[in-house]
Amino acid sequence: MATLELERKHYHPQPVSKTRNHKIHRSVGYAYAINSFAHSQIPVESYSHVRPSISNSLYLHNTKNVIILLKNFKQQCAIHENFNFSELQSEFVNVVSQLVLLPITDISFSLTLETSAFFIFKKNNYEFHLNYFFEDENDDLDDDKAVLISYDENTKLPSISGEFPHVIKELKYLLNLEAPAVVWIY
Amino acid sequence: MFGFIKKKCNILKKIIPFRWFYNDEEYPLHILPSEDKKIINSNVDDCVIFRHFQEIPNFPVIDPNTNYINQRYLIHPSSNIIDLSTNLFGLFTHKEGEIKIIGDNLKYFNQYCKPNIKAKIPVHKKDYIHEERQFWHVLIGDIQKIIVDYPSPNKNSTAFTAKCCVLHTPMKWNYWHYSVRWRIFQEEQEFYLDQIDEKKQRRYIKKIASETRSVLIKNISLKLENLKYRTIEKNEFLDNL
Repeated sequence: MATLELERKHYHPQPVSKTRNHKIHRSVGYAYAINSFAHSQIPVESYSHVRPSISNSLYLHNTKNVIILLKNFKQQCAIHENFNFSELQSEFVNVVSQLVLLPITDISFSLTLETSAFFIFKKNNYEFHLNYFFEDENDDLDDDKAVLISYDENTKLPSISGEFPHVIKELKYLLNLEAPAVVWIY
Repeated sequence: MFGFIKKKCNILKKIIPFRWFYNDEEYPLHILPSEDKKIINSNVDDCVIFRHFQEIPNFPVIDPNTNYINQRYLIHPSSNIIDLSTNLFGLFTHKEGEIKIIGDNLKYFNQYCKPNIKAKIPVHKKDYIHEERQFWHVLIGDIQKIIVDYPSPNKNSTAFTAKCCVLHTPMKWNYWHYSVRWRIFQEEQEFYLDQIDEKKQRRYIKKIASETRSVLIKNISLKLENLKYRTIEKNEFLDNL
């Protein structure tokens, strides 16, 4: 991401609105997103293979998705008494930042009483349910951080649980982006 | 003066049975355990269980992105997701589903019991009130026997399989109480989570909670009319028929 950041700064040393003497405000970054090459379906882990203008658009597109999800998270935190937005937002951003990079669609989530965020997303015929559990001081080694439940149409596939990076790695494997992290032994 | 009257009333309330003071409504006796009832052992796959929720303003019941029920409405705060309470639809209808047990006897009424005991009758406003509620429904056969596999659950644990079970678990306030539980099969052992100690439960709780949520949102219906179901026959729950 650092490389991408440098690329963006190289090609756009200043935000568009700033160069046009506009006041800087929160949505200033979206000036870059006006680009006919922006496609949400493109699987992106690295932008090195695409032209800077496209990579900037993809980056901003993902950033926009993160912001939309974060806004929704804030709204839901206001309803759920066991969620403190200011305490959990960085953890939430960390999770959704990884999700938006994957070639998945229709990301949606709702908060649960087990202090977790239950994400639902799709890819073609596959449907994924990812339950991410926020940090808890009472957690111990046996506790899972995330549980991934997968369906091929309505057929249930084996579930995966464990640390979040491990679950993401397995998810990438299911999405044909990476080799499996473990070999399943029946 | 007002304080004096209030004090007198409180004394009267203690002397006169509570029922005479408050009982403007009879508890529906057909939902209580009674001597003529038995555990329902017949196949109820085509029957419906249902559970209540209360809508929060400005928070939609159905998530427009997924068309699934919002997780907030799936399970009530006081409920235990690994042993989820529901009710069998039939003699126990939405009207009875609006009953909320309250007061000092809450613990007594919320106990599991045999189907044929003679339980105390809850008293209106002392032991129970009516609460405006909405309900979701699920066909038992749609979730019963769903099997989930965890081939590599955790570095500290071995592979296991869990099977969703819908069990008749009468309570002292409600004979028609059903529980959604998961039976774990691991290394030639099988058990329900409440049969193992709390420390061991931790290995499974988050997985089972996630599975319950996932299975339910995919199968529940807010409208009962959308489900093809039957109601239970007398010979399935009465002892001497």
